[in-house]
Amino acid sequence: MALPLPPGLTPPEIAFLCEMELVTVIPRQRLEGLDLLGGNLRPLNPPHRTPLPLWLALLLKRQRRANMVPPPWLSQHSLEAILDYETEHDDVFSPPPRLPSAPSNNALAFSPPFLSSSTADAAADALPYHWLELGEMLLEAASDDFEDPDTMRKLLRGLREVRMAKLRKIVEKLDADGGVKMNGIGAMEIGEGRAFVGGVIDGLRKIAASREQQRKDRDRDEMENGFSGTADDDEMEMA
Amino acid sequence: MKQGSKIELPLWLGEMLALSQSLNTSSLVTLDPPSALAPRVLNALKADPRTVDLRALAPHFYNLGARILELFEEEEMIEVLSDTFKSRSAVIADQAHNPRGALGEGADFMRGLDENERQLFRTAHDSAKAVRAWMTDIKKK
Repeated sequence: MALPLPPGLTPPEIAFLCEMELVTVIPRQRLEGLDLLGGNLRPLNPPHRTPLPLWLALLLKRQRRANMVPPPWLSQHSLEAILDYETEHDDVFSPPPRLPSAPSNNALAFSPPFLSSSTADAAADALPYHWLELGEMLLEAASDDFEDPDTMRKLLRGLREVRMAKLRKIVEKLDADGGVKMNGIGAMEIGEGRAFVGGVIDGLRKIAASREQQRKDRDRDEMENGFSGTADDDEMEMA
Repeated sequence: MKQGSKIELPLWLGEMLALSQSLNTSSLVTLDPPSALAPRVLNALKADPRTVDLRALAPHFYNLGARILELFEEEEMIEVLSDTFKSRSAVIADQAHNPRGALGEGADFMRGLDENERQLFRTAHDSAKAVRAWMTDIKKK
């Protein structure tokens, strides 16, 4: 049975998930606080900056009820620095935003997507998980809140090209049974690369299927006969 | 058919005849690797995987390789095929993201892809197209 959609998420779905990210707006009209499923929103009082989910911020922006404050990393200076890092380091992505230190008590530490990585007080030197989608959507809906939207668009495109080229180069390091380090990769990049990288891994596994089968047989023999305690036991368990 | 003669059989038939040795005492046939996986081809792949026309050798080159590897125990062939697939996939990805690649200098390479690789090209191309489509979509809103 052929499914109509490829595995993973489509770009519109990824963009939809991105819309729950908090962004900072400067309201131009008063708005009562809203009790939403995702949590209560503070009342909007111009001209106080308020964090809002992206979807609501985009809505208010389109109705000209609010102005956006772009996150610090979405500025010409930061993007140029990150782009430099990406072109200098051939095989790693620029590191993701640092996580806050774990709380001392037993409470669970916050991790993405529950960190505000795109509000006005986010880190300036790192691309968050949803950088591409958020950047594109903000530049599209609120280009008048940026100083130089065209340069920003160009920088985003440049970043995307460099990083996708790295993602494509990953396949040369792939193995049928190995892992690959992809720290700092973004949601849209995963969505775009998933089908291809998955296809390569499937192909490699098919080629090495006979070796895998042999290993399984050997492992089963060892399970039945009890472990012989040889040095390469560990290796085979990893496989 | 005379004993000791060499003939070409379909893979399924050759496989069955070769594996039937447990019933009789001696095997009916012994298998040689098919010409698509001859040492000459493997050497060419080792030298430069990107210039070999896999499609001319066998339309399902990798699937054939996987079947043959079930019959023969050849560690080296696994290595060569895996490396070939990896380095060719990298080129495929570049071609899939580069819309004019299919017409320009990459045309020869694209014609030489086997079925698995074509499938891979199609998926890579589709996902790149989907992201581009989304980017033009948000501009219309």
